[in-house]
Amino acid sequence: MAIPGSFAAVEVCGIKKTFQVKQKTAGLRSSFSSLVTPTVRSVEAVRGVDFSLPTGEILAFIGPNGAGKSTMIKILTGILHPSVGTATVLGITPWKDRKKLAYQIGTVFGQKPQLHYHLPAGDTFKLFSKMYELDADQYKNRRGFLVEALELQDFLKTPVRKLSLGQRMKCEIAASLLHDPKIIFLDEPTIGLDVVAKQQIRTAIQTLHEELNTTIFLTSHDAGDIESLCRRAIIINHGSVIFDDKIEVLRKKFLQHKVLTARFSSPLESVFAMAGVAVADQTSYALTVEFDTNVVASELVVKNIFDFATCSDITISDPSLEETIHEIYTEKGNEL
Amino acid sequence: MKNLSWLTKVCNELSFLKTLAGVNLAAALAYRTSFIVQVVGMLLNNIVYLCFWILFFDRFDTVAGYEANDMFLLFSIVAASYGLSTVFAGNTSGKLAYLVAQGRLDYYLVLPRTLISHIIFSRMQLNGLGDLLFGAALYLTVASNMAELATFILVVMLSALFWSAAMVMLGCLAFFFGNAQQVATQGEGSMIISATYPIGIFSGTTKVLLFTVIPAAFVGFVPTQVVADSDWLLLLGLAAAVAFAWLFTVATFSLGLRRYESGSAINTNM
Amino acid sequence: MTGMYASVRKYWSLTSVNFSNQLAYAAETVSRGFFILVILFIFVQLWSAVFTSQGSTEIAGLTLSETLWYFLLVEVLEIGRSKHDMTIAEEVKSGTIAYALVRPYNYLGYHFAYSAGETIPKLLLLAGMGLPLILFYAGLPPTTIISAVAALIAVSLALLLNFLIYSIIGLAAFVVEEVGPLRMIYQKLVFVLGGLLLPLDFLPSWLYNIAILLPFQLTTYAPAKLLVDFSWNHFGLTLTLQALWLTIFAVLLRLQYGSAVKRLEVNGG
Repeated sequence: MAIPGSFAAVEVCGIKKTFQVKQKTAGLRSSFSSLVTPTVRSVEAVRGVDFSLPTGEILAFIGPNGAGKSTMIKILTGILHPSVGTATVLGITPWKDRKKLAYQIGTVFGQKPQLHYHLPAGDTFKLFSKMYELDADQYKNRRGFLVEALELQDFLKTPVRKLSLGQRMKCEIAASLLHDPKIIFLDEPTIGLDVVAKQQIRTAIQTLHEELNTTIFLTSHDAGDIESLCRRAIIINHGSVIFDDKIEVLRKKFLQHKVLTARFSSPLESVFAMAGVAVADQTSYALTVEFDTNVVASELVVKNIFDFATCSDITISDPSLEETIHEIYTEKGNEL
Repeated sequence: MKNLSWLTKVCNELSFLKTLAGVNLAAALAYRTSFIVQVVGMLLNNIVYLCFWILFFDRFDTVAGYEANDMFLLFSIVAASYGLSTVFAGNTSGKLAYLVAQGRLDYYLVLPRTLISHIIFSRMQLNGLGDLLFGAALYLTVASNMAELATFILVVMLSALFWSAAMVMLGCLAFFFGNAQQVATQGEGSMIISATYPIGIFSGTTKVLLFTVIPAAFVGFVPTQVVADSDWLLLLGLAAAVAFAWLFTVATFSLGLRRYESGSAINTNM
Repeated sequence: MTGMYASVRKYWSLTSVNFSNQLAYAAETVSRGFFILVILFIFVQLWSAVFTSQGSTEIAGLTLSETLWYFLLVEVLEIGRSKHDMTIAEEVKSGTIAYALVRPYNYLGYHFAYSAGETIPKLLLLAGMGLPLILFYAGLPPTTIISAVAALIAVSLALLLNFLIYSIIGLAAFVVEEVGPLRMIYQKLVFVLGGLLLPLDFLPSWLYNIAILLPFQLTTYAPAKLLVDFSWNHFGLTLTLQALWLTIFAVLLRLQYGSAVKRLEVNGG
């Protein structure tokens, strides 16, 4: 799998993770009996995942809630022990050599902040420099670089609780990069941010990647993050990898899928029907249909709609990456 | 060369813990009123119990071989050692159980430090300062000479180490039973209250419990005996108990960590 | 008459709602109540040792059995008391009290009814947990029908008094930033002057004479003492003092509540 000339930063082989979940039922009697003999159910969060990530690449790791992507990132950062399988990050088995690995990786968990809430970010930076045992000069240079690259000058001395979410996240990213990690794991770095802040974070990650060539492992719900940052994506659902290829392949594979919306000047009297075309929505004056250009040509659909009623407006669009991904989940999910 | 690198490691760890303590203190002092309230509140709490014992011995003179001075010595050792333990290593017991159950250990797991020390030193319990000050002041009212004072300081440090081991152990329950915050907090409370009464009031079976399941004897009865009788053999015994408690706790923690779920099991409701 | 009936029903529904809430979480309450067993066990050991070393069957008129039953009741009353002061303080601090005031309830009536639903099952549960332990060590309770009835009346008035006092503590959030210290000081006073650690009879007489007149003992010591060592004199004194302090705290609460509402109206909530 490894691309010649570069060794894999992450190598994952047959990883499985099963959680034991306690079942709790309502009621007094069952509360007591579950104290003595709890009903335990196994939940397979990850069901045999394999992939490899070459050094210097940005990988998007995508999946719906509960698909297993957080579990996977936690296994790779040494937080969780897998039930079965092997994995190496920078040649280290995360759950066996947690401390050694920690010196070389950076992590940002969007929902689990690392900065001290009541203190300025600068204080946490200082603490982190001690944690990673950076010497004073190293720390000064590195901090200077990050402050400039991420534009943190104005709020480095403000207590974190008074920062906006976007400013906070930029500081989080800076904190995780202080020790010059070879690979950085970003778990939902833009969660809860507004559009402007999201864009700022993306630009920052882009800049850092270009200047430092750090390997980046990114999970996100946000198709925008993935489109603007990554060239390759892995999609995971129900604990298994269902797609692993370039983003372009993802788009191309589903670009044939079109959405057509038409408006009419007079009310529709019958329901639109055509072979190979699915009606997504029809009201008196509007119609939305979906079709696959491999099955039926666009001009044929357009012609049929013109014949159907007097059209005042018509648009044909590609679905967004978000919709595409969603479609993959549901499609492949149903297959499973 | 090998010795040197070992020394460097220890120095690095101490330097890190110093910075960590500084950051915690800064965070705790961000709310000055709350700081003062906590310290004064704990002092007040202890003073109330002291009043109880004064009134108690005023009426009864002696109980189970303890006189007022013995009680004050016991109380001062328990308060000072518990205070010393919690003021620095404040992230234990119910707080640790909460971190484990909620998946908050992630923060520590991705950082390159020794886990237990990093976790427990990451929070200061300022009310512990009230306990420490109270314990020290109370001891000074019954202290007899400088040598005894030195013994007092030594046993307080050993007992503080024992407290920390026991309270990390209580927090570890969360690895095995999930939501153990309540149980850990009650265990801590039970140990405090069991340690602050003369051991002579308990029967044989209960005494065994106080050396095992709720090991309150090692933070109350044993160190008090060491100071009162200058019993050096018992001091060695206390040190051995501290070492054993830590070995046991570290082993349990490592075992528990393998079962750590990072809160994932809660989120995978399929 | 119908109006009054409807309003009684309204508040009763609040009580019963919280009553069933408490039952639903009975397992949790039981696990929380574990602590009362530890405390009672230690008190049993301590006072058994005290009676042994004193070499007498009675101390200040109390036998060991009476002393142990006494501690069961005071501990149950203290641990099981309503925590509505925290809710009130929270509502004041967050400002949601402004919304609570426009509900078709009297604000304090609402809390009284609701906390009754919490307190009564909790007290029963805690008493049920401690009972076997005390029965085992102290034997049957030294109680007559008269003393049980007297204690029950005193307990009811004690709960009412507690409600008023803790409401005042909760509403103090209008004036002080944190009511935590206030609550703690009050509780600590109850520990010593309310007979929670030591029955007041064991205090030096000068302190007993002061403590007996203060309100702290009326919520703990008085009912427990009536249960184990009834006397008409003490019953009369208790009822008089409870009535007196209930009036004082009711007036205080009324004034405090009035000024709080006024403050809300001025600030527009």
